[in-house]
Amino acid sequence: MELAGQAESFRKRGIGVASVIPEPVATIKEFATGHGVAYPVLSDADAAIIRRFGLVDHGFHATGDLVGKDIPYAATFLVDEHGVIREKFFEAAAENRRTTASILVLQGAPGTGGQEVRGGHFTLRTSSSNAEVAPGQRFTLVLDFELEPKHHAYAPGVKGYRPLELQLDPDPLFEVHDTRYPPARTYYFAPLKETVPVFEGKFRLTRDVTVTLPGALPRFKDVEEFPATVSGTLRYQICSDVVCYPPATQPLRWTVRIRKWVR
Amino acid sequence: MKNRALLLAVALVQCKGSAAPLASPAASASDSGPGPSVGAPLPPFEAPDQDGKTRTFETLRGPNGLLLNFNRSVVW
Repeated sequence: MELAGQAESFRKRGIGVASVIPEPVATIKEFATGHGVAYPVLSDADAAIIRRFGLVDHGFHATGDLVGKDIPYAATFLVDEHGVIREKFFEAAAENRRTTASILVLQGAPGTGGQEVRGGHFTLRTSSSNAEVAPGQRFTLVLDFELEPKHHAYAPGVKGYRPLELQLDPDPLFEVHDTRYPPARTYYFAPLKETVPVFEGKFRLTRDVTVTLPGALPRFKDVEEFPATVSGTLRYQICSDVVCYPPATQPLRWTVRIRKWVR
Repeated sequence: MKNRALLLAVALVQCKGSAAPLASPAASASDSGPGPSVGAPLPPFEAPDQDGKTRTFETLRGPNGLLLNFNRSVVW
């Protein structure tokens, strides 16, 4: 499980890590010992927990040993210290999984790789939650902005200015999801009596990408892994308290290795 | 593009803008799908871990909470 490699990063943030699996203790013990899993893996052999949580996947077509068993959706909950669910990650398709590293960067952790772009009046550092991804894995592209003081970029929904937007080039290898923006702030520009939603200072945009099975699997005929690039264009407009600069674009790219399997 | 606004903004000098939090919801994870929702309490649970030790939310959580993951089997 990819979670094993990330468990320590969560613990460093004061967040405990545990898995629930509908298998007997003996099976889980064998797996955990063999794979050096250093976090608690709970045995839900009678499926009581997944039933109570309402996580049984009734549309799942079981084969082999799984026939007749209740199988859960792959879901992950981020729960605060009081036991309240703060985030929920869920993939409807059985073959898809969000990487744990993706959940980690959504909590503000740094990504890996990427490039630094010095634009007019801002610095952008791009990175990715994962350097290696497998078919079906959902990972996260990260854009960390730092605007010069007294400058702002525009949030979606703004009228009359170009909002910050990441357009990704179509590629059958990747299914792209919606951009996640931080909360915008309202900015009042007195001379025009204008109130607009903006981003200022340091902020992070993220965008999830899933490696598609139809796009990736044919490529593994002769290789165990191959490099792939997610490319796109950042569209934006920066203004200061005094000056408004013209709308602009910036090409961006993220390179990842697509592997048949990721441990 | 509102060119007039752009030109005006360029022409005007030393105009003070003020920023305040917007009342729009922050971007958050998808809350669709089965299982308990964001904002709800985690349902109580109790189960043995790989060492046979009985575990609950209280014994699993860190000072800032818990990442609880559900998988179909040990291998996937």
